[in-house]
Amino acid sequence: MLGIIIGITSVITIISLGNGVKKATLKNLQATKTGKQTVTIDYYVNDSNDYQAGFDQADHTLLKSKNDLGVSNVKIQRVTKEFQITAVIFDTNKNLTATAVKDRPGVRLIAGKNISSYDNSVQNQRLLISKQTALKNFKSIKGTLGASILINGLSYTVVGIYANNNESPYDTNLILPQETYFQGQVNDQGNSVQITFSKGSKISKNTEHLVTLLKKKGSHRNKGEYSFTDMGELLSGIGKVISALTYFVSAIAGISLFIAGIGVMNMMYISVSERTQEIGIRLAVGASPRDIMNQFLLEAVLLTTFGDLIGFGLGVGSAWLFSLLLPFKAVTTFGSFILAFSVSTIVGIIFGILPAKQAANKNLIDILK
Amino acid sequence: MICLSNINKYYHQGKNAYHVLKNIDLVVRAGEFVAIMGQSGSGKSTLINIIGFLDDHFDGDYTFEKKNIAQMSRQDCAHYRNRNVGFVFQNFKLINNLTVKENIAIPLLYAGQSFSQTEVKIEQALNQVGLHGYQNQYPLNLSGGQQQRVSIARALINKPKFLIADEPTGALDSQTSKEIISLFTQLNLKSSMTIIMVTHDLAVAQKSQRIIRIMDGTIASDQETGYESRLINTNGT
Ligand SMILES: Nc1ncnc2c1ncn2[C@@H]1O[C@H](COP(=O)(O)OP(=O)(O)O)[C@@H](O)[C@H]1O
Ligand SMILES: [Mg+2]
Repeated sequence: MLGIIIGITSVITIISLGNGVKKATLKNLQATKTGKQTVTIDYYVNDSNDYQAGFDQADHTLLKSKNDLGVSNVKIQRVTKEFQITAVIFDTNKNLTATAVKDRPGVRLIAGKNISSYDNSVQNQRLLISKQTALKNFKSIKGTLGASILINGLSYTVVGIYANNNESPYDTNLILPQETYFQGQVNDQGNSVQITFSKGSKISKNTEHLVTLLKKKGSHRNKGEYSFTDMGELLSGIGKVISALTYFVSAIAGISLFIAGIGVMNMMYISVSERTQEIGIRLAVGASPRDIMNQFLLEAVLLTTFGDLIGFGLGVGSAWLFSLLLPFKAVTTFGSFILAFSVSTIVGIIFGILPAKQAANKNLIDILK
Repeated sequence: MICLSNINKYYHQGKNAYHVLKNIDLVVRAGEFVAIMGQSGSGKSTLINIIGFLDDHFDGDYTFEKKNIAQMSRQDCAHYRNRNVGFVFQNFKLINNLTVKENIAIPLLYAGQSFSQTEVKIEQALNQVGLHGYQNQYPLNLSGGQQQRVSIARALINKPKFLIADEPTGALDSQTSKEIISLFTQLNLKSSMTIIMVTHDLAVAQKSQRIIRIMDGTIASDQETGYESRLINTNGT
């Protein structure tokens, strides 16, 4: 019984994970028939002094022209969280990090007041500075409030000082209103670009081509690197591990199913010998040897399918647990249920047949004496 | 109905062969109530097992309603047993973890009927043996006489052509024995059931129509008991 449960559990776990990988891989390697797929290419500046957006109108045009690679839409995205800026404080250039917000940020102020969505919408030149940055660049907390900081040619007034917290995205030196910060910039400049592929494109491969193209012709190719996360590659790596695991788990499953089978056979032999009288009575009142055989086979199969149901439940559960640790969802299909069901039925029949035959071939006269 | 001619039966034990039935010729007509008597080990059970299609390992001819039993397959033999014979054994042979109703239903189920079809028939059979309302009892909660009545109900459920009873009163006290035998005589008289019964008890045997004595595997005597004595005895109980 335990063997059946272990066997089916491992089979279902591995099949569900395998299905999950397959599905996730397919989704990432190829745009599905119904949906278009998008991939993001990021730009990282080599020298953080040299802040600028990595993609501009020229890149947009370049990428958009690649219809042959399945590109159907290109959208340059502004980076609003934890980006690098150059700020001028007391006539000195400082490399700082900043986050641009649309609404009042959820930080704890220790002096001054917060910035709000109103500041954002009317493009007020106000910002918040972290306590640490304030102490490093100004003499005192009080002296910081009301001071001016020059960013991209705009002069911002420090209106509040917030306690540093490690919580992203506010773990930066400055927090400023988005509309104010981006007002000088053209809309299609930014450090990442989102590319939508048309149906059926090979996303991984084509994105690689696009990155190669950007390295040759990208407008800011000399000052930074382009990169993208290849989910396809990641998943096919996991897929390889899973299929290697499949052999291992199949071996475990096979062995435990075999042991289970022997266990079932033993149980059935005991049952047959304990119920000799019953067999005799049934034969006497008209059961044919085939009826008796079917009865005991059915009992063996019930035994194994009961184990199967428990094993199936555990398998689905453990696949789900594993998938919490992995970047994809486990997929349990009706097909795997049928598979497990057939496997356990077959085990029941194979190992039940000998005891059942023994029951059917018992000598009636000897039993009834 | 039942016609045995020149039946011989051997049991083989190691190198030795025991000749248990020797040249048996026997005819039982429909509606007869036959008692078989004889010493222990004389071959009575062996004989009625052959008559009841339980044993098909014998030499000679057995024709039942013009059909030759010896040539049947095990499968057909089981089918024949199910439709034509009812068995009553000395030690009842009920399945103890099934209820009375389930025990009686077994022959019906092997005859291919569904559970829903069995309900009414089981009730009728229980009424016939005087166990109205005992459907859901377990055999071990019943007295010996009641258990034997259940087994008779089971034997009757498929409306067999004849009953085989191997020492049906052997495990019962004399009062209960009388009740069981009276049940047999009623079945025989009212429903013209053919009954072949093995017994050690002469008083029991005398309730039958015909007494056959077996001695060392041969038929030693075969006598009618007389219709009149039967009637008197039946009324007396
Ligand atoms: N299965 C068997 N194997 C060997 N000998 C048997 C077997 N069954 C019965 N016998 C022998 O056959 C003889 C007749 O047995 P049985 O018909 O049961 O007698 P009865 O019912 O008249 O007491 C006995 O001597 C018994 O020992
Ligand atoms: Mg006997």
